[in-house]
Formats: sequence, C-alpha cells, structure tokens
Amino acid sequence: MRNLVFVVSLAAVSVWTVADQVREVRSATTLQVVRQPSQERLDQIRRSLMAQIVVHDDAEGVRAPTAAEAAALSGAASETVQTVALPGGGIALLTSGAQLSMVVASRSGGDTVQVTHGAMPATTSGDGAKGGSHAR
Amino acid sequence: MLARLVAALLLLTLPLPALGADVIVINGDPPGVGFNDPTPAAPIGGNLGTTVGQQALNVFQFAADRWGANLISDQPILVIAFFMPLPCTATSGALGAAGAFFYFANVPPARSGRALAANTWYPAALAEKLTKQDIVVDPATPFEIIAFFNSELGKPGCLTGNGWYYGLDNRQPANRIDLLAVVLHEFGHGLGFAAVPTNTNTGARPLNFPSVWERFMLDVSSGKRWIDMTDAERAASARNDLNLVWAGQKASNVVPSVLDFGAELVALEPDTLGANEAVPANFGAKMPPHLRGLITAPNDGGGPSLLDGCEPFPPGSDAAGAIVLMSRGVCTFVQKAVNAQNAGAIAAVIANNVVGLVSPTGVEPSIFIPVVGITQALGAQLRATPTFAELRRNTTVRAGTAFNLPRLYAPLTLAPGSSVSHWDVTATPSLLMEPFLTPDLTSSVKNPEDLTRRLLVDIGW
Repeated sequence: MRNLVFVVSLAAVSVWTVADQVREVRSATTLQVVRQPSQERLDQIRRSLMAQIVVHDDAEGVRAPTAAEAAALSGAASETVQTVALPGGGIALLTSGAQLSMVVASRSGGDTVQVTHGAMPATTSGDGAKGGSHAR
Repeated sequence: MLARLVAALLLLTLPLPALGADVIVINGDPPGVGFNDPTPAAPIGGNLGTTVGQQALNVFQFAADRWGANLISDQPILVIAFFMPLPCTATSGALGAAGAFFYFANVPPARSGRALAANTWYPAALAEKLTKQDIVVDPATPFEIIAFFNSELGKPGCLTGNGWYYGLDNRQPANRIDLLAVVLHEFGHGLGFAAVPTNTNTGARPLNFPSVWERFMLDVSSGKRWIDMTDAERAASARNDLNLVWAGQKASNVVPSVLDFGAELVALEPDTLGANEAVPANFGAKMPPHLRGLITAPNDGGGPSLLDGCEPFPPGSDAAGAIVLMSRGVCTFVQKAVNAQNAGAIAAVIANNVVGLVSPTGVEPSIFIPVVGITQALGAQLRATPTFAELRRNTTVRAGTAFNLPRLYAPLTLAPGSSVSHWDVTATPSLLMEPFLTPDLTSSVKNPEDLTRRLLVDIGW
C-alpha cells in the first residue's frame, strides 16, 4: 500500500513565526510607501505554499492531489482555520493556501486545453470549453 | 433657484473619493528564478519585458493596474506573488491561485471610515478600504492578497508545449494559455469574488460568521438568502444547479447591458415538450427571433458515437434544412457546428452528456448558423419523438440568469474550488469570473463587457 501524506501546513502559521525584517519599497504608480518583508521571510512563505498544494507520495514523489485528495485537503483546511483577536478590536481569520481556488489546465486532445478550477479535471467531454464539466 | 444653485456649489466643494486604488505586486521570488528568471524573451503583445521573469511580472502588474483602475480605495493593496514550480504532468498542470491573505470581522473603523457589518467576514483589502486603515495582524506580513503561479508551464513534463502567453493583448495562440486572463481572474478572487471563508461543502462558517457574500446569495427555489439558511440548507443550495443567484442590486442592474438575451426551444408539433431553456453559444449567429424546423438527429457515419456530429454528415443525411441535434462529447462544439452547417442545417443543438445545461463555447468566425446547448434529458426526449420546433430568442430573460438575476455556479455535484464562487457557465457572453476560462475573454472587468466589478461594488467596493 502506498504511503500518502497530505501536507496541509497553513501559510498563515509559518508566516507568524519568523522574525520581522522590513524594508520599504515604493510603488511605481503612486507615492505610497509600503513595507516589504525580507527575502528570507518570502522564501519561507514560498516553501509553505508548496507544502499545501502537493501530495508527497512514496511511489510517485511530489505530485498534485487527486480530486478526492483535494477535497480532503479542502476539508482539513476548513477545520484548522485560525482566528486572532486584533489589539485595536476585531478578529482576523488566517487563511491557508489550501482554501484558495487553484486554476488547473489539461489537454484533452490535439492542442485543446481546458482551463478550470479545483483538482485536475477529468477529460471526458472532449469539447474543451466552459461547459466542459458543468454539473459533472 | 438660488437655493438650488447654492446647494450645487456646496456639493462641488465636498471632497470626492479618490478614483482608483493602488494594487502593488510584491515579487516574492529569490534571485534567478520565477519573476527573476533571466532567460531571454522577445517582447510580445505589448509586453516589453526582455526576460521570462520580467514578462511574467509585467503581466501581474498589468492585471493589478487594471483592477486598481476599476476600484476605489485609499489603502494600498499589496499582492505577495510567486512564480514557482507547481504540480504538473505532461498533459495537465496547476496554473496558479490567488486569494485574500486575511479575512476580518468587527474591526472598528478609523475616523471617516465605515463600519463593517457586524459579525461578518470581509476580505482584507475590502475591510481596509471600508474602515480606511491598514489593519495590521503582523507587521511582517502586510499583504492583502497572496498569489502563486506555475513557472514551469509548457516545459518538458509540464503541459508540454502549452506554455503561458505573456502578451497583454488577449491574442494568445490556440496552444498557449493567456497568463493575463488567469491572473486577472485570480486577483478577482483575492479582492473578494469568493464565498470564502464559508465552507461551501458543509455550509459551515468560522465562528458562525457569514461571508460578506451571503447577504447577496439567493436560492430561488427556497426564496432564502444564504445568510438566513442553516448550514445544511447552504450545503444543499451550493448544489442547486441553476437556482443559486446573485441578488445584489449593482450587478443585477447591469445584467441587460452585459448578457445577451436567452434562448428557448419550443416544441410545436407535437407540443408535449413545451418551452425549454437553451443556452446560446458564444459563436455562430445571434439567436434569431424565430427559427422553425424539424429537429433531426442524423447519423454521422462513424467515430465512437454516430450521434455526436464529430464526423462530416454523409450525403443524403437528414441534416439539410433541419435543426440538427447532436450529443456533446468526443470533439469540440465548433467541430459539431461546422459539420452541421456544411450539411445544410439551419441551426445546431447540442445536448449535454451529463445532467444540466451545457454552454457551447469556441471561436470560429465562419459559422453563420445559430448554435445552442440543451439538457441531456431534453436531447433524449427529442430523439425519441421527432418534433417540429421553434428555436427563438427569449426577450424576457437574459442568458445565465434566473428571474433576471445572474446565476452563480452550483452544479449538482459540488466542484471544490469552483462551486458557488463563480458566475454560472450559462452566461453569454462569457464572463471573467466563470469557472472555465474561455478564449473569448477580454481584460475588461466592468460593464458592458462584464458583471464582475459590479458584484464587487455590491459587497462594498
């Protein structure tokens, strides 16, 4: 039996734990000054994202989740959302990459590419158009 | 008269809200990869970048600027963006995603800001726009939106040969995927085009607070808004195909300027099947006021199915002069329509091969007959009963609406990531925020080309 490991680490969890290193960048279009974290912080978010959207499978290595796995990831994410009370009042909800709506593409035949959301789509319709998986 | 003049002058002295919003893309990639990929690239489609990374970043900022020009906020919207390897195979691949970095509830407004609706989740950028402040959760994560897209697309082993199109002109070749359209779409989610954080599978909500979307989501079967439903009712409504609509006034008001008239197929002889909704294709002739003919389902003489219209109809088939019914599947909608037209059909009707209506989409300027999609069930009934029918424009409804309110995508089987947080696929013409991106999209987010900006105005933008 293959060993499947779903990795659903929350981006919001990891980004909390790194020391703050802020530098300022200036928007190209206005004079707004914004704060940008260090590259180290950005790298950490990047690694965290990767961990949320792939399945580590002993047999196949790193790969995209199947439809069932994606659903499980989505469910797991909903169970683990974090809320934080803000000092000035109000509540923040920390979202995770697993809650995001992933766009995927698949090629069904020839050069026809279907672009949709969610898990890798089944390619049974053959028409490669927007009704492609409606009510599937 | 003088009083009116004074009032008008006073109005002119009131401060106007600044037009536009500053949407800033923060390149999160390390040197040498992603947005910093130094691989040389020739400028294309208005994108003057000279490396692959620079062109990708240009597309992101172009999309950000497009949204910024269509929104109003005095708070900068920071998008942390990565162009990185994502899961792929040779024939399929994850393209990318974007979403709000945080959701906020019950945050008190700054002076001159507006109060958020109590106990309601707002995406970060919208919450900050309304309350007129930068809501700081952690100073080191100042982002409102997070986005990550696949840098490997088109390379060996990753949807090989079907890479990104980096132009800014929506003129992508057939074998390329328009990065701009996908990024615009995903930024839409990040700005608030999503029912998140409500779980559309179970109907449950964090802290039992509704998403700001829920007050505008109406199930026309039950007459209930999502905000008034139980978890179980929301879960059922997310699967109530064609009956979940957006009831926000701003979006609904512009439906007539954006969506085409609907279509219907009316059985005349026999008349037992009555009038049935049909979805006009986004190609072919505009739906005629009245078009009458016998519905035939001619044998196409080959292929996996004789009824799919994927092969040219042989001479002598009963396609000539008829409204030709074909099954969905095996080949493109365009191919079916071409075959029907070449055989002399006066219209093409494509029956779905799964439950629900099908919305035929494609690009083929040479098709001059009208093309519509119908349900699988109606297709089976028409095959069983030869019917003389009228295909006509329905001037009382717009395509993609129920009770003239735009539908949200709610297929019978929940599609994780797609259901609820998109316009329904029966909309004609295609809209940016449908779950299936089509080649006919422009990069406009506002009416008369699109409903999306108006939906965002409904929730507070």
